[in-house]
Amino acid sequence: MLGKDSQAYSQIQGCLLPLMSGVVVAVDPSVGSTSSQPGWAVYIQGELRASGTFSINPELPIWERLRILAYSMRKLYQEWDPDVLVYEDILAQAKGGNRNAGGHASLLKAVGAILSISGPDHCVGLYPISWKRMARTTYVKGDENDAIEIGWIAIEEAKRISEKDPPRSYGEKAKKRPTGPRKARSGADLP
Amino acid sequence: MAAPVGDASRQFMDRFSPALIEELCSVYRGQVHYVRDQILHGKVLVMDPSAGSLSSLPAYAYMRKGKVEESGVIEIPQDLLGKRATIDKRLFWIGQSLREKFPEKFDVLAVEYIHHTPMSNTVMPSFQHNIMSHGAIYASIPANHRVDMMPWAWHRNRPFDYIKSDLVDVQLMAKTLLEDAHNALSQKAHRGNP
Repeated sequence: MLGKDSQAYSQIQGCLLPLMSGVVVAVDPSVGSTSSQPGWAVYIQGELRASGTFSINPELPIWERLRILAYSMRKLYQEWDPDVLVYEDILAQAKGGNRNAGGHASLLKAVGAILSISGPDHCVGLYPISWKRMARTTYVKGDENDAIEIGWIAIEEAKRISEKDPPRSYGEKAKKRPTGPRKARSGADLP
Repeated sequence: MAAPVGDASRQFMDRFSPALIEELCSVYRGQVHYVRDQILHGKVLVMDPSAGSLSSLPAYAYMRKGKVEESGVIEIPQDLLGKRATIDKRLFWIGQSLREKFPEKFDVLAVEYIHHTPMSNTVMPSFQHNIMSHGAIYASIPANHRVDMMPWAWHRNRPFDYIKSDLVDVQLMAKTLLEDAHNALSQKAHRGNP
């Protein structure tokens, strides 16, 4: 379940109807490598209609792979005319992250390429740490499966939110819960 | 003489080891050498990438036959730059603006290179959106060749009274690229290489 203060929550809340009854394209971003290719899935009225992966030659330089990724996304949009794009958002790495920084930068570029394309009116970005804990027990990791799962989670969250919380305008954040006054901490307080 | 720059910028640059700077700059020189003729005689687009913020916008310089014909910034509406605006809207705006402004294919696309990290093997969070804007630029501008403009390469052309701005930076990048292409050409003539 997404936190009310999260960006993904407000993004989903901004497009509840298109998520539940429109055309949704879900994407697991990648620039195409030997171990990973971009995965995609299409949902119509909450039902999975099609899914797959784009095939990008990992031997090509990264800028050409980004062009191919953008072209493939445009073709997908032309075919399905989606209302919502759901994508896996990439967190900035905190110092000490154990991931390859070059690969991480490539993923960020892939997300940038995907978001720059003309397409759906609404975008929902889900961080891996958020969607993986909401994944179904049947979920098996894979490029295509990730896209299927990301789309399913966004649609299920839309259903849950529409039952509990009335829609708000896009981008509007939930009010912060009132908290008590913070205890002042100074050097004198320390033992 | 070194130009005055902001403390934060200087401190960040100081964190790169001389060996890494040399390695990155040699990649840049190799790329310029390879496409020197296209830079001097073809259509070139130089981009200073940015995902858009209240302090920075993406800037471009359009060069044709070795001369800068146009330079400017990609204006982004204020409502997309506020704290509540999401990155997807800004990147879409940038991509759309670039596609409308530059529908033709370029011989060379030169984009300022953002190295993900000076020391450790991590992407610095402050660079996240800038790296994403790289992806938006590459996806939106068709080109035959690409050059990664190293910041250290064009910083040498900063005048003493340099005041940082998106437009000035991209103009300096274009100037540096032309100089380096000329240098690569004169080296070729000197060596008698084909």
